[in-house]
Amino acid sequence: MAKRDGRSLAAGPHRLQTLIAVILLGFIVLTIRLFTMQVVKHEEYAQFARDNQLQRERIPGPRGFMRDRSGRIIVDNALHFEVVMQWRSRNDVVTALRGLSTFIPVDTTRALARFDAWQKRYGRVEFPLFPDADKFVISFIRENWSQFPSLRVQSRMRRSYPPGGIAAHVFGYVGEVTPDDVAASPEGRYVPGDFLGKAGLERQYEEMLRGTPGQRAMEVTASGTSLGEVPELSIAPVPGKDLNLAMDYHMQAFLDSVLSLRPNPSAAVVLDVKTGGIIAATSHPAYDPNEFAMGVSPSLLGDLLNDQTKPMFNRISHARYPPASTFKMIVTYAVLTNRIVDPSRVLVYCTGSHRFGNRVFRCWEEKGHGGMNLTSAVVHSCDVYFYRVAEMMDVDVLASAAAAFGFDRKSGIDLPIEVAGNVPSRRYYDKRHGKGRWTQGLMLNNTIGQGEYLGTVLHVARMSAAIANGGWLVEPHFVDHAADEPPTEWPRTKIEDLAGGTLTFLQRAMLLVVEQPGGTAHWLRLPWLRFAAKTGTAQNPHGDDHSWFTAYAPADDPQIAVALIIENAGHGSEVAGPIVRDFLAEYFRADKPAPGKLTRSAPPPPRTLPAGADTAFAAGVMW
Amino acid sequence: MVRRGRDFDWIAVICTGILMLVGLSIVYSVSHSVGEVSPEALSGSHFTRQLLWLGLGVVTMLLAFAIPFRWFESLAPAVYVACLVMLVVVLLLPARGETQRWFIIGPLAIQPSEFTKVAVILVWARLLASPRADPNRLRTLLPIVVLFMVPFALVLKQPDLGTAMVFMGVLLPVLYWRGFRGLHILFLLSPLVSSVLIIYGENVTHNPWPFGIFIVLILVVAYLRRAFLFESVSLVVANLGIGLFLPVLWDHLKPYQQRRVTNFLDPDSDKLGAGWQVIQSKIAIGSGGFNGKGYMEGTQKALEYVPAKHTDFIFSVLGEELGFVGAVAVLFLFAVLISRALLAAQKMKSEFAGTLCVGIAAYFAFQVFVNIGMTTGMAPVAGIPLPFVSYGGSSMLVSCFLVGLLLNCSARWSEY
Repeated sequence: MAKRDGRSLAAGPHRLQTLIAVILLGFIVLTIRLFTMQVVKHEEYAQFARDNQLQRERIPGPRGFMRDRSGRIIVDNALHFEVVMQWRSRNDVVTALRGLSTFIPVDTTRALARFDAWQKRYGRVEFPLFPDADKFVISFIRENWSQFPSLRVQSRMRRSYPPGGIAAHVFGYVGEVTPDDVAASPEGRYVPGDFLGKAGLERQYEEMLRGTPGQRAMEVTASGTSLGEVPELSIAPVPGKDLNLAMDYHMQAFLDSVLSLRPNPSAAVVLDVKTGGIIAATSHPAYDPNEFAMGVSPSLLGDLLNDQTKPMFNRISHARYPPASTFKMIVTYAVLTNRIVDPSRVLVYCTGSHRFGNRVFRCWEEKGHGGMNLTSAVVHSCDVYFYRVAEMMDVDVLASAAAAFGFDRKSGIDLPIEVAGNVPSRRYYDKRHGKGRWTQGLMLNNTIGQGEYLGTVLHVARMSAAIANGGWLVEPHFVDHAADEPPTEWPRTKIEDLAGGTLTFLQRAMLLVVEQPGGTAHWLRLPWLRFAAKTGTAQNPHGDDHSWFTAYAPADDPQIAVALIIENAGHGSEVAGPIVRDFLAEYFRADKPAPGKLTRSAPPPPRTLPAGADTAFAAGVMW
Repeated sequence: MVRRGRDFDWIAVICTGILMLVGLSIVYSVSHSVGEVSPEALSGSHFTRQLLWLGLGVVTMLLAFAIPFRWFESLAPAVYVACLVMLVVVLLLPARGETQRWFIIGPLAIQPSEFTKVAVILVWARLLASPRADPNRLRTLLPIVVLFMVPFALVLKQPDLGTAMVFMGVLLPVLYWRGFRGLHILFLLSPLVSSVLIIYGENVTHNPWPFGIFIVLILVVAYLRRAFLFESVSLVVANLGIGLFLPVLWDHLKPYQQRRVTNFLDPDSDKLGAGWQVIQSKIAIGSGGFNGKGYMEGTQKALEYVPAKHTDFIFSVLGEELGFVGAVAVLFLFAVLISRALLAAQKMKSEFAGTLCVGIAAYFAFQVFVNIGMTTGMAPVAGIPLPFVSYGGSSMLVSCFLVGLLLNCSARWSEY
């Protein structure tokens, strides 16, 4: 059966004829099509080509907003207008500028300088002649369109941030796309002149925040009169997704305003102890992201980058400090879990210094603390006790305790740049000094948080949060969820052995730092709010000591944990402590403006900041 | 036995030469249009580069002509493997925008998928030329289908649906030439038609009837051909299976993948990209009229930025400037070239050379139909260049190589 017309007919004449017929048919169809278009309907197309043309305008999709936990919009879009110009040569621009300058004030030299930079960067694409045109310019150009047909007015959205740089390092900023950005992204996503997130949440969540551009197709006659939109070729832009932050904007503004009263650089993080949601975080000094929203001027950027205090440096996730005495909580955890010392035993009599070999290690309290057990050593932050502990503790025991609290890795915060802490292990020292060429003496600095141990404020904050919440290491994050999306599940991990007696011990010790007379933060206690804390003073070879303070509150039902470092400010209890105390007082004060529950499905509130008491407050302090 | 001179296909050479000159002059016209707003500086450098490619193309053509075709028969598997390696490597390179199609070597972009078109024609011809080969038997068909599926999948991954379709467009005529039965062609083709009808019906027209009618037609054919029971049943099962499972599979695709397919099938839905291009292209061609606006006189080419007007959409510039006369003349040249290949196939004594000639004819026919169909709004926007005319090195080299092979075969027609 299969042989019937198989081989015998292969390459036979009828196969050739069929192939020729099919191909001929194809050519006939194409010829008919061309005949219809070019001869029969020629007039129609020709008239369209002659009289009308289709113009299209790209409508950028608005960026998503950022809302705080009550749903109020914190990062917004503001409308502005720009005048763009189609050009073929530099001469076109010169002519247009000359023509315009007889009617409206134009800085021709500056505009041409900008044009040259633009041309060099992007080549022959529309040039934004007036990136931020005022009403006068716009109405002039709209009225005299026939004289300047190469000019076009288009609306644009500009990013608008809280003024004065509140949480600037958190939000980050947007910047103009570079040619590399355009080339690296799918075609049509970005065009020269678009903005995208360059730092902070703006960059981290660029994919969600950015809108999808649309286009408006217009039929325009040769004389420039618009015949109206062509709906079949128009497409509506899609706004980006709104981000709902865990941030409490009132507290964020409070934190920024208090810290900006000092010139010292500082960094702070306030965590929701249960979820890891960041209620407030700041890095001071900062910049004003609004200055970046239209493209930052080179002189301002130069000033910011040359500033000694490094305002562009994000100290929240990028700056590592010695954790100083706040680290004693982790040493205590290591002591308890490894049963190195009986916690109730008076281990040392502190005279203000401790001799190890032929070196003398000093306690911060020169007069000495007297007899110390583990609890009182934490409460008084007695260095001598911890020097003694260091002599008994293996390097890797402390390293694994620090690792349990996440100091050896990044915290996982949703910012584009983060550094891990540093946890020196036996291998680390062997590599650094050579095997057997280092002594236990190194541990004496480690147990008071002054050695090679390093961490960011995030590491310290989540340490306090873990002690507060019953032993869970949370992942700090700003974004609770994106609009219309289910809440992101942020992972948290149980810290081994941080439970039962160990946990109670650590919690009680931190509480007594505040509540017990003689505790390093006793003078900060609030009669109406029991909170637990640990102070720290990080010795700094380059200048004055850094002031550390970490706390959680309320002590009986912990809700938030705070970590704050102020560079070169002195003792933790004297500088950072009062600020954290004030923050807690403001957060928990009964008549505070409603902190707002995290809205997850409620209708979006009005799109402008209501003139509430808190904005008035912020205005009073900040500006 | 080679009687050069008498058996040299001057007609094919003249057609090719004229097409090359037409292409070169249109590339020149596009490069020197006034009011160009493309950022990629469509400057004269495109013309000079095209000139360079053309020179290389002529050398390639001479090489393909000079080496006896039997050498190519032995080399076919090696060429095929080399092309597959290139396709894999290009996928491993970092993506340029959304696609991974090119090797960038200095100023030159090389597209391995173009060369793969030659490779598949060579291996298929070699397989089908063996005296025991019968495309209606599984033992012949299966290796061929596998050799088809591998580059098809790799090119689809780039993603380049258009080039992947070219493999199909060349395979079917070649199989048919070697005696493939009509029912079998239907069997290979119908799942594709079914898929297109389902996706088109579900996502573009929201009309399931075309697929329904197609299934009824399939049933009728199966009934009429019930003598071939196995084939008929498979035909029905395959198409019904696609009807059942494709919608499920479709839902598992990511939205951007779905969009890529619907944009391919229905360019009008892609208003920002392909749809816009097609409209501009139609206006340009239509406004050209019978005589055209004259060389270098095109106006539409300058008005709106069409990204591919020097490559895939070059025919719209040609149609505008040279008009119906010029467009049909180009069609005529292609038709003559293709018929030379088919007529050569007929007189070949070597089965390999005959099959090769059919493959060459099918390649040119498919490229021309899809490209001109696309610019006139009849075919999907597939990213397929017009041989010899579109700017682009890989396409030029491949087309020249294939014409060289054709000359080679027809000059040695009496050899086995």
